[in-house]
Amino acid sequence: MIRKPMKLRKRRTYIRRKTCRFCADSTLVITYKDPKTLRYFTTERGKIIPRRISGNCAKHQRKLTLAIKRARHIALLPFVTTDF
Amino acid sequence: MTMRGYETVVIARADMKDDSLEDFRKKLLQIIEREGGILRGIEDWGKKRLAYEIRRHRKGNYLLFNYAGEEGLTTELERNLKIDERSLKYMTIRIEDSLDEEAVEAAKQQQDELMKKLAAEAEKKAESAAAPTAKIAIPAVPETGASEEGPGDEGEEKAAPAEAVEAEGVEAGETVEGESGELEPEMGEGNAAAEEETTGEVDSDESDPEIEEAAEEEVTEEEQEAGEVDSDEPEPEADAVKEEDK
Repeated sequence: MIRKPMKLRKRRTYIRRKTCRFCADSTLVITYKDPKTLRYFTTERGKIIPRRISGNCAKHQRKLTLAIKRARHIALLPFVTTDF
Repeated sequence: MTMRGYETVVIARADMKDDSLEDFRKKLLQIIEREGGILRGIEDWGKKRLAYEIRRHRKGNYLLFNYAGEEGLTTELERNLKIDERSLKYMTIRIEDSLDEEAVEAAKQQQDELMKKLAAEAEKKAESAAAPTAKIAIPAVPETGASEEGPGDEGEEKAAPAEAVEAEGVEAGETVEGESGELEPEMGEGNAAAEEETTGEVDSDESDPEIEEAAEEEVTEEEQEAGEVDSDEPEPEADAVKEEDK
């Protein structure tokens, strides 16, 4: 049996928000048409930020992911940004 | 047959003239009508910068159609969008699985109101388009006279309350000011009506510093560990392979 090498297990646990931004404020709507809000949840490179860092609840993270992917399809958000 | 609610976003070429864009819009509306669809809303987001190149274009004209239709409508619409060279990209989303009779009636009423509004806007456009042509008819100096008309048109058309007219007026003003390829600096100079997002720029002031930093540090740490740029993928794959070996 090959176990995962020990060095990969050691990972800093990052502070993350305790509450889901969308659960707390029920007026925020997740829609693919609003790249400004969606961009909060992507890295500079354009990658979607994982839930354990963004603090979203599962339901909203799923909706968010769907919205981001739709926005990418419509060129409101990039797939990848390489320029710095 | 069930009526379903759809929403289609179309990215049209940005280098079209306004009347070509109008034709394109009308053509799509005709298709919706022809196939027995009910139009519930149209939005024109105007020219926006694209987050990535599409067919060598960097800007596009965004149109949104909100409609309800039966089977075959979307297929027909998309078929036409695919063939037409004026559309760069399109995306259709299903909003409602089925509309019951009430909803269908409500949608039809929405459509009637919408059609009236569009007709009214079209009339206003025709009026304000007629007026400037009267001005140009004056046998003044040709070139400078035309450029003076530009801001004049803009002022006139901005006075009209309808949004569509405003957008068209601003666009006309922009094209008169400079036919150069780079519209971005002009757009950026605070044209409130047509304020577009330059999606290429990232405003680090606005974004949540916590989230950004955490995410970035995570990425770089992974890079150091795995020694590769995108280390997200190799790790789970490696795990899966190792588990299979067991």
